[in-house]
Amino acid sequence: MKVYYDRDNATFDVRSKTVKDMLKEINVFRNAVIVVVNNEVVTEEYEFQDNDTVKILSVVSGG
Amino acid sequence: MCQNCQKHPVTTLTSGRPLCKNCFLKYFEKKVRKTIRVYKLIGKTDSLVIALSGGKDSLTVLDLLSNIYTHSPSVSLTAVAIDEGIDGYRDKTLEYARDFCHKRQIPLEVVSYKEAFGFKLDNVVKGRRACSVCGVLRRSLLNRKARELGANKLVTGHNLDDEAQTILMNQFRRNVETSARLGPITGVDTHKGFVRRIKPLYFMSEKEVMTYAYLKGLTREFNECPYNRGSYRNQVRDLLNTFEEKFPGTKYSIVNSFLEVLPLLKQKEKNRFRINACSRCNEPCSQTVCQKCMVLEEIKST
Repeated sequence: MKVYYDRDNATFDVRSKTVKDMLKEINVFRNAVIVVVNNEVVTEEYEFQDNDTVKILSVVSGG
Repeated sequence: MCQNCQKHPVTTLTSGRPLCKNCFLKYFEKKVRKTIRVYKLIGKTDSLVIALSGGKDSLTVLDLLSNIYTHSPSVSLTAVAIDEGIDGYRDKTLEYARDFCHKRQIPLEVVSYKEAFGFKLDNVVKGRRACSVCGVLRRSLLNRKARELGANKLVTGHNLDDEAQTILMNQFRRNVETSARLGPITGVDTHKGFVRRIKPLYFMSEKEVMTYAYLKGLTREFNECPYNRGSYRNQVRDLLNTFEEKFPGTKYSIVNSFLEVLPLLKQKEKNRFRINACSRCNEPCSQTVCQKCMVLEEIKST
C-alpha cells in the first residue's frame, strides 16, 4: 500500500496492516503526526482496508 | 470506539481514552476555556492582539477566541502577522492569514522586517543561527505593534510541546532568567512598555492542536519554516518525542512539574531584575541594551 507523508513530500510503500505498525515501519514518531484515511482522521488502532487512501500529516508547523 | 458515544474515534488521549470527532472538539474547547479561566488569561475588557503566523497553532487560537468572545463586544481582537522575509514560505502563510481574517472579519495588521529593520531574514541568516536571530526580532516587533495598537495582552499559539521544549532547552543551557518568564502568562514583572503574552493552548499537545485544526478545516497545506529542521529546538522536539513514545505523559510531567516551581523562579528573578528601558531604543528590557538592539548591531557590523 502507498502512503503519502507531507513533511517529506514523499510516498512510501508499506506492508503494515495497522496505523501503529505503519508508523513504526517508516520510522515516524506517532506524536509528531496525524493519520488521515479517506479524509477521516484515524487512531493508531485503525486496520487498513483495500483501496484506502492514506496521508500522514506532520503536526509541526512554523518554525 | 469513542468512550462517550461509541462512534468512530479520531484520537486517543494520553490517558488512553478514545474520542470521536464531536467529543474531541468538545474536550479541546473545554480544556482551553479552563486554561483561560484558571490562569485568568483574559479579562472582561481586555484588548487582545493575536500573533498570527498562519500555522495551525495561531489559526486555532484565533478561531477559538473569535468564537468564545463573539458575544463579548468589550473584548477586542486584532491579529498581527510578521513578515520576516522568508521566500517561498511566509508569502504563502500570509496569504492564508489574510483570507482567514477577511472571512471572519477580524482586523489584521502585517509588519515586515524589511520595513522595521531594513532587511529580509533570508539576507542575514548566512553564518548565523536563524531561529535565534528571528525569535528575538519577532518578539520585539510583536510587543511594539501590540503596544501601538493599545493591546493589554498578546495572545500566542504556544502549545504543550512548545513549552516542554523550551523548558528543556533552558535547562540544557542553564538559562534560569528565561525560564522564569515562561508559563501560561509570561513575564516576571510588569512595565508599561511590555505587553504580557498569554498562551490559551498551553495544555494542548501539538498533536491535539493539529487534530483540532484539521477537523475544523483550519489548515490548508503543510508549512514548515525552512530554517526549522536543523534548529536546536527541532533536536529537542525529537528527543521529547522519543521519550513520549516510550513513556506517555512525559511532556505533561515536564510542564506540570515546572509549573510547581515557577512561582519560586519568578520571585527569585523579580528580586534580581527590574524591567528597564533600553538605552538605545527605549523598548523594555532586563539589561542596559535590549537583545533586539544587540542582534541588529551584530548584523550591521558584518
